[in-house]
Amino acid sequence: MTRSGGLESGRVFVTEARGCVTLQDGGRHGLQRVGVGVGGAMDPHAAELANLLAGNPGEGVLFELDGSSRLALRCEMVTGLALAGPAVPVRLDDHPVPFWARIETNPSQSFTIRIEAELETGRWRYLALSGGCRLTPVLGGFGTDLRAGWGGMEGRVLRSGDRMTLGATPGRPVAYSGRAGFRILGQLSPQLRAPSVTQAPVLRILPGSHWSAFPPEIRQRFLAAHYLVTKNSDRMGYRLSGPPLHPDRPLEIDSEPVTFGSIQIPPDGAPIVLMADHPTQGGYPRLAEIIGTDVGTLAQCRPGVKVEFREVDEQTALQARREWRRSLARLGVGLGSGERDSFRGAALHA
Amino acid sequence: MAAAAGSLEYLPLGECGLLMRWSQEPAPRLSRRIRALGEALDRNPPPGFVEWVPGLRSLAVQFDPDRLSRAAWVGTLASIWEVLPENPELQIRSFVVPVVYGGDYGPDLAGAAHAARLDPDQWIALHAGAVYEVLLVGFAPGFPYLAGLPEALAVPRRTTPRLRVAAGSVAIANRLCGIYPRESPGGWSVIGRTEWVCFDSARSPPACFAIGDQVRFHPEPWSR
Repeated sequence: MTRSGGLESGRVFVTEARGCVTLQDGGRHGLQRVGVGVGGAMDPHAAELANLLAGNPGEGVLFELDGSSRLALRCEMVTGLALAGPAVPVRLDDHPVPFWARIETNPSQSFTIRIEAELETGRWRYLALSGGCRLTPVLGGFGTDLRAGWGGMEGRVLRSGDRMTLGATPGRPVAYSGRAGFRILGQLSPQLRAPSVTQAPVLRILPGSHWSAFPPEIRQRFLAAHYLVTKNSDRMGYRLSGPPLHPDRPLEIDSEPVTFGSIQIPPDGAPIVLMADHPTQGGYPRLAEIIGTDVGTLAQCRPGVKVEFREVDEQTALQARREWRRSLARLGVGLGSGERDSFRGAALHA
Repeated sequence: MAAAAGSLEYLPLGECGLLMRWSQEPAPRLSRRIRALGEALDRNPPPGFVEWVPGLRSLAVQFDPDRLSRAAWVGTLASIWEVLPENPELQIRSFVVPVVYGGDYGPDLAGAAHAARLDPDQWIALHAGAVYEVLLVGFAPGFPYLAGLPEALAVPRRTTPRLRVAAGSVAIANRLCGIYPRESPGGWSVIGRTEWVCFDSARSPPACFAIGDQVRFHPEPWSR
């Protein structure tokens, strides 16, 4: 298959992959009713920005790296890329390339992109290649579900020797064809980046469906105390430690749907926040729900990071969501127009 | 609304979801009506509808709140629920699932039989003599929550969940029976194993069971 511009599709060879490197997307929807999880990127905002910067749809397939995972890709006929999440030095051949930037590459020159620096803060990093990875959908989605063993690359983490083809990038401006291997078109201004990594973040919550089953002093404790992210934190859930939170009396919960950001309180009183790969049903009382714009902020907290919770009303949550969608729409318009000045003016600074 | 349905609450599930929760005990009739409500949404999706997810006595709806507000969703769901017939027409199927009971495949059978003051063969005869109905499919892909376990066989959930329950394990907890479609941690008492395929991502639909389906278990000899 060729691109609209007559170019061949990009090809990518994994020359090194260590740790938890998976392909993710915006998640699988519609099959939670039979127990199939949504999954998708752990920091959905960082993933969406990486995709938009690379000229892809926001929910496109991209690489997700956990913690200190390493990844090196040999790229052929690739027209661009973008990195998002907590920044580490990344090299394109021998040159450093920044996070939160749109990087155009010359498709007639193959190159290697290498992410191998240790992360000091934050957890999930994203690499989007223009065109996204072309995969066969499983159950209507492309993302890797490691527990189910499907999606992404054979349902597993990437390893060296894997290869993939990129999709077409409709409507994208003509690829950069300068003599140098790449150019940095611009960098996203800090206020437009995903909330990403902050020290001791305050996570906004809405009351959960068992909120009123908890005595007022427990709810106040939850909102007043600090909680630490523990080592038992993965794509399924983040366990927190801090003052225990017990309901009035033990609650017998009949299995009930839960969502990304649900805060469950098991019998030991230590909260568990359900993350992207959560099971579709929960059996513990749910004290609160982290609002959609803040789940990625928690995802980026590594073990030992302190978090606080602040109750907001639904209007505040909806407003945060709208502002986020609006800033993405502005970025999308800028990126799609092909007019560099407006693109830069709208969302980027060089 | 039918008196049998008990009271119904509309609860938040984040800003993009809501949860309908019924006060009554989980029961086949409620589950069938929940499925019928979900199928009504599938047939006629309101603006911004993402998906519905059933629970044992609940139903979650995920939506885009900028297309249709929570208040409007509550109104929509209430109006669909109110006119749903008491016994909605659903496509119901029947399955007979072969099970090898006990031994290594059912490490908790002896304990369950002891608790019920039955010998294992009597226990198996009661378990395999019952007709079960799917209340819910979920937790793991294809996992059926089955109502219909005879009261004499009910056991509480294990206090310490197993880290690994083998794929195909047939297990019980309280008045429910289930089949683990894949290896996973689990807190139910495992009484046998089946080769039945509860979920196949390459099949359409991928899940074998749906809410309302009737299930019987057929004891298979160990020697097979």
